[in-house]
Amino acid sequence: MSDSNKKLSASDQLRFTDEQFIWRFSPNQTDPELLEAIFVGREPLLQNVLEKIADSATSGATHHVLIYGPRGIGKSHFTSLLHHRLVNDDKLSESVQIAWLNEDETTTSMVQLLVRIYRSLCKWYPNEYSPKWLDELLDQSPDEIAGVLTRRLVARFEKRRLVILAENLNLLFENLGTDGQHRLRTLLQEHPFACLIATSQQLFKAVTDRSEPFFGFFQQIPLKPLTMTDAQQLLVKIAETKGQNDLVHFLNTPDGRGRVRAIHDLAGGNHRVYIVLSGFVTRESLDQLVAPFQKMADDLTPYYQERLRWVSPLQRQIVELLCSEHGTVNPKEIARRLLVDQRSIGKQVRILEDIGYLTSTKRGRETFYELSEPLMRLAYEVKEQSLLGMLIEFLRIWYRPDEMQKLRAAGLSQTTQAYVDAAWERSQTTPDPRLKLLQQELEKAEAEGRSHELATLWEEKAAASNKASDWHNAGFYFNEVNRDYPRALVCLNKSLGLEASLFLGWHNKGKSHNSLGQYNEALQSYNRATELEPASPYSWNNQGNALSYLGQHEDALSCYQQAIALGLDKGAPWYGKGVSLSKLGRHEEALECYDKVIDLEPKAADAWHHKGNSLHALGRYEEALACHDKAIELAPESVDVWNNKGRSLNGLGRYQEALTCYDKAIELEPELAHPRFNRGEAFFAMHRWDDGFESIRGAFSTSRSDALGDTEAMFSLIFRLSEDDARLQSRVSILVDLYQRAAEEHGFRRPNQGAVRHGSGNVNADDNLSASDDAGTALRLVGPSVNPLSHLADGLVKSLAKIDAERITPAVLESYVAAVEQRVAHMPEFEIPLRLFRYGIRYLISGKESEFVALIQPERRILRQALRLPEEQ
Amino acid sequence: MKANPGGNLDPDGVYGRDQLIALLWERLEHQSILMDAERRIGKTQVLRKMLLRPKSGWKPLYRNVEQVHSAQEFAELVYNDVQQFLGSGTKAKNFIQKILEDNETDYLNLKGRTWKKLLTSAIEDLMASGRDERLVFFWDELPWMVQSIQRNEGSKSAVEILDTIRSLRHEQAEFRVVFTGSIGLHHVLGKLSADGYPTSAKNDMFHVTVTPLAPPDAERLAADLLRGEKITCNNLADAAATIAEEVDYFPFYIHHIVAGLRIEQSTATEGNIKDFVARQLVDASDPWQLAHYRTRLSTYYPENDDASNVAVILDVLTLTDEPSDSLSVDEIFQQASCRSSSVKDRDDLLRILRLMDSDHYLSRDTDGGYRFRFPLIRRWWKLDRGL
Repeated sequence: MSDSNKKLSASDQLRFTDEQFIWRFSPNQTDPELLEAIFVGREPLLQNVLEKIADSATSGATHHVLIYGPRGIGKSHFTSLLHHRLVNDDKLSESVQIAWLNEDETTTSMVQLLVRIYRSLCKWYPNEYSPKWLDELLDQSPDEIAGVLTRRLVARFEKRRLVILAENLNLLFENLGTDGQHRLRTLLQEHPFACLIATSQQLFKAVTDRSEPFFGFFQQIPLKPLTMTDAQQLLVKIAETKGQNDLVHFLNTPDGRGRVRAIHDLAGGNHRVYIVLSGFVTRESLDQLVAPFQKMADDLTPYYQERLRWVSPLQRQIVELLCSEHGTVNPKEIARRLLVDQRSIGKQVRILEDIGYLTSTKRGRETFYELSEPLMRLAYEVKEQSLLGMLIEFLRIWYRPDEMQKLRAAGLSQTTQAYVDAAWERSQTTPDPRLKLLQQELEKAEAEGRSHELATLWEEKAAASNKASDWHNAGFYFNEVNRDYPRALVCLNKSLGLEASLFLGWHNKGKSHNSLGQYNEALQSYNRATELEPASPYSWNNQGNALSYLGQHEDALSCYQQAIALGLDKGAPWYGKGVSLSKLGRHEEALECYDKVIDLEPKAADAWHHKGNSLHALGRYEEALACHDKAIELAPESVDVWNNKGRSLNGLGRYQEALTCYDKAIELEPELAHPRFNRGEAFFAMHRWDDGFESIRGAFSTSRSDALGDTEAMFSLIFRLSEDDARLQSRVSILVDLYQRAAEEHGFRRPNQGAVRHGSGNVNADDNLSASDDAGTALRLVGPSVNPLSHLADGLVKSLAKIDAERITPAVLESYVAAVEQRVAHMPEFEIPLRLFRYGIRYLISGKESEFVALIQPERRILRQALRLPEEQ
Repeated sequence: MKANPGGNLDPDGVYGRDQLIALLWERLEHQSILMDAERRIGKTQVLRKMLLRPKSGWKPLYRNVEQVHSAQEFAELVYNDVQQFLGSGTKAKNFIQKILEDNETDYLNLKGRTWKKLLTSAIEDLMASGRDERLVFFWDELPWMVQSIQRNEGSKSAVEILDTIRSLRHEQAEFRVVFTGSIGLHHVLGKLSADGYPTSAKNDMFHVTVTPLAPPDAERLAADLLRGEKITCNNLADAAATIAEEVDYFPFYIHHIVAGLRIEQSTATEGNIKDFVARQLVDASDPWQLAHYRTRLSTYYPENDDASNVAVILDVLTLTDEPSDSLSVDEIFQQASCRSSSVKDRDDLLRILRLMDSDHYLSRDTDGGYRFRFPLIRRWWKLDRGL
């Protein structure tokens, strides 16, 4: 691949004219750089064949491949590139040599084939193979020449492989005859020194009939028509090689894709037709387009007319009939139209298929036929002496009816005017081909369940029709299926631009904004939706969600209530209401809502989960645990449920089990921080301090360290469980160290800012982390939104609530203050929290609110909250 | 390792045949070998592995004799091979010289009359050469050659070839050949016998039938191919087992499936593998060339209505619930009669069943019942016949 990539980048400098593409496109005569630059859709197959050749070169195996497909499908392009890649492959050049047989040369015997192979080797490897030697050899008898050449080739390729590239193998084999084929097969079987990589227009008797020598010999690979995506890529690449950046951009727009789709329909996946038509998609003026198109038709017509002359009169009639049709026809219809017996037609279409004129497709039990080469229609149309139908179709694809109407009045040459008029007239009686194709494709995609393609298809259709409903459908699928919310918004905005009163447009726009976290915009959209359709419970429900995300829980509650009142008999509004109530600390009421959800939707894992969380918040750990277990049963892969089950177990003092839950959560999502913080907390409770700090350290090194842990619980555990002052001080220091380092890593403070680093057991480890920390930070996807040290300081104040002052002596309480002060005294983040903590401890010792006198009012409010004291009167 | 359906494999890529190859070398110490196999089993790859990794003291010489159309051509081919093996070629050359002198004739006249002498003497000289290395001839597609000679020169000449080789085996205790072919030699012998030229040309040979791979070998092959082609699998062992089982452990089809998955850039899931196989079985272009099992019937069973009776019997055997279920001879007779077969009587049916067994269509269980030998072929037959 590296080689090809190099070629591609080199091709950036290549510039090709239309003529090079259209008039001179013959792959084996074309610059390989150009072939590389416009190679699409077949790279995996090319790699596959290259690997087979490499395998042949490096093992005792020999691979033989036959690639088949109708004329113009890209076989020569493929073979030319295969040759190009092989000769430029440094690894293979020692072990492989290539004989590329000229496809136009006729070979009627094995000895002639051997001579051709040798000649090709002389051409490509003149230092090793001498034309003079070959010329002298030709004086001998054919048998002797064959013997000498066979021995020489076998000897030359004893240690390496010969790759024979043979195009049109069917013709080669036909001319070789059975005897020649037998000899070739025997040579390749008895002396397996060569890989035969061949192409043909179709499978043929010599490889499909058991009595033939090459039956079962090749891996037969059909070269499939280009897909729509390939076609678009091809046209983009051609435009790139011509330096037409505007066209590259246009081809990637929905309108551009729509036009490519229509060309795809004209081309039928035929590689050559795209290349031919690519010359026209860029013409700026119509006059510039029509004349060259006609010239192309004139140039190609003799070739196709000649091909028509090769077949019998009945076969020609069949081909002509198919030229006049755009699509497939079954033998019954052909027989009816040509007034010929159906059996005769059946036989003739099979012959025409065998010789590459027609392609068949089966639908149920019927077989339908179409032209293998769409351009053959040109020969028929030119003969008809009328306007070229293909060009008229092309114009209809390229210009929308409204654009065509403008062009008609633009002052065109007589011929061009005739074509545009014809295209315009046809557009008045037959549907826009692009819209028709897109509608068919949409129906097909829906029927086949290709829901991911629906959004782009609707987008293309919308670009062609410019209808609000089409833009809305595109937006809907981008939102619901592809989850491409920005693109959904583009489409929905266009839809609403055309029809501002489209209630569903506003509703879905709200959903897209919501998914992007743009809750204010979502709220505005839902407001508009509920204005237009006040009876839509879904919009009310979603409006509630947006308000909930914005923290406006009271307002959210009324929206949910409205949705419920309008009869939304689903769990969603009850669930939303429950969540908002939980956020407001009204857990008892929230529980009722969750129970309602569970009534309506017993398998709603989220309701069980949140019910568990509310029970946890109410200290009803056993019940919380049961709910979390139920949630896990319904959603065993939910990280949050496992994490919260751990918390319930933690609340019950079942630390070891809690650890198992946290580990499960970490296993499910290793980069999530909060289960690691909780794990640290559980370790603290088990007096496994080092493990606890290590877990917290691990939490900070994840790529999603948006959570910062329950620092209130951490301080509480350290205060409560530390055996003496020294250990207490050390643990507080380590905890602060960890949060300080996180603050520095995330840019909330400079290293050592505001305080002299204090020694602790982990100082050295911290100091050694600078280099790797930088890397870790760079990889981090989500960082904390608040300063970790501020969060820690907040936890310190809140930990006051958990201190059981009645059972702790004043001296111990004072040791808490001392332990914290010794580490954070000069840290700005702790300036206020430390003062509050100090006063809080004083209150806990004295039990007198007069201790708060020195604090200002907001500080007093915070402290009272922390101490769970009623608000000041 | 790369998937390589139809091509020559590296000897290391020929899986699960080492035990068979060891047996063949052991047998060659005592007698010549007739090796047959259903198509696509991999017998040519067995021969190739023997050819490239011969047992010490042996020199195998492989020839595909499919394109040999006359006894003379065959004798000359053997003569040339012997000459090349003997290097200086002294003895063989002396023999030719001697014939020319004895007959006072030229080489062209000699060619027409003396293929038997040429062949016999070439082998005699080979045996008399006293070389340390023993030459063993691998004559692949020998039945095709005999059939072709029969067509071109008549049954007498074809029988003479076989009888001459058999005489040489008897007279020259060290002379060894391996006959192989994708059509059974018994068909050719049957035809010769019907023409009034019965022969026991294969009676002294060790007859071996190459079977599909053992399941573990087939699974190992599938797994190594999936790895070699870098095909994504959720579970490599399961994918390999599915592939192997789907195609009755035929190595050729295993190569085909993996090559196909690679071309389609599919993940090797059970669903994708089964879908791929199902598509091959119903594809109008018959990519696995299974139609041969139908089209060859008239060639294999030219007698009276045998071909159509064989088709009816195969139809009947698709009626069982499971591919492994068999039907007794009486059941087959009864069912075939209901389908207006022209099987005359029970004995006639037994004759046809034995032939079908020899041609690998059927196998017989210990209770004497018959079933399709390969479930894959049963499956294809059912689809092909619209049953």
